[in-house]
Amino acid sequence: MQPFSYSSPADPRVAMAEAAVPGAEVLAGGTDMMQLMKEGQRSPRHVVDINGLPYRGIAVTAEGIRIGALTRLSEAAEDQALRQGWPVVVEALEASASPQVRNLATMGGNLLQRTRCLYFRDWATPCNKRQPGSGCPALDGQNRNNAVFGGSDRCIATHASDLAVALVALDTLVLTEGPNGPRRLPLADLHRLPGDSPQVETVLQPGELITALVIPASAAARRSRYLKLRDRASFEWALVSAAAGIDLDTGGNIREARLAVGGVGTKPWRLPRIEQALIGARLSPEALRPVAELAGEGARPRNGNAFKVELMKRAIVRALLAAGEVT
Amino acid sequence: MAGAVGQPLERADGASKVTGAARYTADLSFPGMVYAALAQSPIASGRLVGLDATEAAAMPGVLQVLTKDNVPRLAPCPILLGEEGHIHSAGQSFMPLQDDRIFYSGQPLALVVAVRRETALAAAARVRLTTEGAPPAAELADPRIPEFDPLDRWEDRQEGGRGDLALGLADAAVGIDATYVTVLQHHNCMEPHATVALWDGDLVTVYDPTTWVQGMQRTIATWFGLPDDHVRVVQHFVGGSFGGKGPAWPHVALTTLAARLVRRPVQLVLSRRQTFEMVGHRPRVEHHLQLGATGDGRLTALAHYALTHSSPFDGRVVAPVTKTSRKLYACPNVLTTYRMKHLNLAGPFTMRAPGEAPGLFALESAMDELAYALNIDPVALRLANDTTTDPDNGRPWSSRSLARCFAAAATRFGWDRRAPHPGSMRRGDWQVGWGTASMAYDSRTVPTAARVVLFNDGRVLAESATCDQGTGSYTVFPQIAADALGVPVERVRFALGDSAMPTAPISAGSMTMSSVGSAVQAAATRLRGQLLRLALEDADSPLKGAMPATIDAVDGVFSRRDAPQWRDPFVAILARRSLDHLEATGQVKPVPTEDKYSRYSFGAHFAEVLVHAESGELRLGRYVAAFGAGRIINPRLAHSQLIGGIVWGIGMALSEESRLDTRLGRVMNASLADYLVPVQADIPEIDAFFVDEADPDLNPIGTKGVGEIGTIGSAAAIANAVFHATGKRIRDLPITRDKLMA
Repeated sequence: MQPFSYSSPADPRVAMAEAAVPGAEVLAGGTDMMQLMKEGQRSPRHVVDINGLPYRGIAVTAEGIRIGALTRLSEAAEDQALRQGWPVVVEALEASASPQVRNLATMGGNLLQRTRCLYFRDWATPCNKRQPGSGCPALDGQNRNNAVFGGSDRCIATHASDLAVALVALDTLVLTEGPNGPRRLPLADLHRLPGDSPQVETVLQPGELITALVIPASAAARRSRYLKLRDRASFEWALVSAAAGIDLDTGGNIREARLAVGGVGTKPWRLPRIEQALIGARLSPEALRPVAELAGEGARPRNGNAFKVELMKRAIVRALLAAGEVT
Repeated sequence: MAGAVGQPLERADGASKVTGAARYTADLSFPGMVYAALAQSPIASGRLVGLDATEAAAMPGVLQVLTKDNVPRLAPCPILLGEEGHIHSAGQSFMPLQDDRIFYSGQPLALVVAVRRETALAAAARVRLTTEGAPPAAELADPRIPEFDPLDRWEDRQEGGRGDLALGLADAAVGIDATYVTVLQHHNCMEPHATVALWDGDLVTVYDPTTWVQGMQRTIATWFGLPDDHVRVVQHFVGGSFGGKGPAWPHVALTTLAARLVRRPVQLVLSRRQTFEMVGHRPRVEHHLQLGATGDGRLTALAHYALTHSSPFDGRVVAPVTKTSRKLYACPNVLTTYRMKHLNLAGPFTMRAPGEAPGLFALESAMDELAYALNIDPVALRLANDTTTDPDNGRPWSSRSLARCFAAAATRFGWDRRAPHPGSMRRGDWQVGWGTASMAYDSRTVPTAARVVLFNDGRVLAESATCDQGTGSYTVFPQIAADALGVPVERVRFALGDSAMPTAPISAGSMTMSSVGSAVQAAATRLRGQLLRLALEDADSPLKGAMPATIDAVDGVFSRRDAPQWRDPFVAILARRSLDHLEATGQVKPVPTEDKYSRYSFGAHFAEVLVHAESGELRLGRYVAAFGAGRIINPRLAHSQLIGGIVWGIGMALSEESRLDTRLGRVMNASLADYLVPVQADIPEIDAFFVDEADPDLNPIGTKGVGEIGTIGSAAAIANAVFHATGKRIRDLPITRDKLMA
């Protein structure tokens, strides 16, 4: 870790101005940030601790539920309104990290966590995300955890958040404030694909802070489940996960579906074509499996992660069936 | 009155550990102490061609940057498991910072000393290194890397055999020929390695969580050209070792060197990543097995050919995986071989059950395959090949409870309800599988000394230069001393971890209980004899002139068995002689070479797995295991060792693997976030227990050692259960979802 200066402003405008200075980084829960600093992947000259800003709390509003960006994952997971109306979000939170980490980590910070790509996390290896232009050893190396969707020949790093997968399936909006004023953008537009510049991960501008998330209410959000498959039973990122929400017609067939998958994309990966194809489908393994097959289209697996394509299809079927059991 | 031995006493050091009062090496602080950090090689093979420490050295608070260009040369030292006599404990022969050669990724190339830890770490990152690399040798299967015969210093060698293997294979009605792979693993103790060195003139004291303070003492003395008595090595707590803290690794030498150069106490604490780079690992082993058997399941042939790796500079066996394959079962025709390749990794070292955990995964998987091929129950197949003598040397076993362990554990598990065919048991969406495996592990007692001191206030101190690596030394040796001396266990304190104490061996190979325990008993028994003599010869003693054989010692009081009112408290004996203490030392001698027994512990594992038919999710349903391990000194702590050992087997079976990028020669998942040790949610209810076993031919206290036996065979039991559930035979660990889906 390199020496840095530190401030903890109470005024959002001061925080944004400080965070906009090149070399500054924002500290919220710090559960990822502190690791990155200790291991030398990030060496900010100045750290702006935003925990004193008024971005914490949960409220049900006319458009859905509004969650302050500094709300801890554990607080959100314990919220009864969120559990009632958006169970997939609570399940994704409960499947994240460990209780200790969830007590510290924030809802906004979780969306901005850095990838678990083993090469990004290792100071000694090239990584286009960490050192632009240095190369991507993950393409043909230890890429069991890497993405099969959205990659480029520069980067195949997976976006590791469970929460973001659940949120993107439900059309969540991200509220921000920055030097150029506030804005609302769909979570689906927050993250960029790596393309030629994997070091730029989001569309956030210097000094722009996430202040809150708004998750719209819907029938599909109420009937939703999160399924996470991983190499050990807890405290581990997803090999593959699936967030599914459905609305059923009176005949028990799917009227509307929301579906996103994790562990497979360079950003939270929604599957709009599958959602369309599911309309009218019966809730049975036999009916769902052919639709899930379509999810493999466009996948570009590498040597170590090809199994994820099939695993994802199985996860989609199971998550949809589980959503159907929500009463 | 019941003695202390056999009581399930709670851990004497438990409260200090859970409250944080226990001080580990990284917690230590001394006046003037400064901090070291390493600058390391990003490449695994090549040379250091440039090093610029200008910026690092200029940082405020940096005292010195040690490099190959400014440090004195250290003398070479024999490596642990590399010399006859086992005196020294160097982890590897290559010492960094002595020349420009680079042999492994993460190799230290410079060491920065600064007044604060943070400064040292920041400065180390600013040492500019220029390296010139060649592609490393990192792939065991690479045919371009030549094989060699290793140096084998184990009592039972890896190469051996009997009979005629070809004949045995030709005689077989059924044969198995398969290759199994156990993978690169790291110890991942909770406590990272740490060293503090303090010089006082030509005397040096080194604090280090080594499990062998006296081996490290002699090693440091050799490196620095000092008499042994100029070096003192101390530790009070070891936060897990699992073999990895046995040796003195190069960072110990570099820290000691730095303290000499900056003339202040220096502390170095390794990062988690660094513990993957320079303090040992379980090497990958490719095991080729051949089995042959008659139609009724008697083995006619057994071969175990192992291929593994060592560092570029050493070639000794640290994973003795084949020796027990010659011993476990009666079989007339046996061959074991062991070959190695040099890879660009730092030195491997023993890791919990270093030979038998990998070796019996292979053998016991192959036995399971044989059982299916023969259509014989896997338990019955093992019992059909049970043997009353060690088939490798013809000696009788001092005790062998294999069949009793299978019977007891099979009953508790309900094995008789098993449907024999793979895939035939189901619970909802889950396929259910039951698997079993044998356990065998050699039981050792080595020369050890201990001292026991009785103070005039009745307190007792026992000591030996051993360690407590979380296993219970602080708790169990007072139990032995208390019974041998005749005092309440609460009055006995055990001290350890100082090279100035009576001689103790490395704490490894499950031999600490047998070795140190026997020495403690000998010392306490001798002390009791001395004390009794003082009483019987004392005109003022109520026991004056009594026959020694008629005297009992209970609660710190001698009394006549025939007339208990005639009694003499220990403290009164010392008081009448004006002694403030009385002490005695005791030793346990080596087993004679003309020994007539083979000494092994045996056991049986039973695992239930559930595999989700759709997603391939794998869970353990329950686990039952029985062991025969001689006399159990403390059932609570021994049970904890079994549970911990089985959890290790579960990790080995399902998730643990250090994933190498063979192009870089580098472990890529070098963190506890990415190297997956099991979490609580992975662990089912474990019913682990001992069968009664009295074995007076083991050693003076009749114990076998329990640190490693839980781990041995457990991965095979799980893999065998996976086959029973799914019909899929996974021969390379760990059993991950992708392998089950293939």
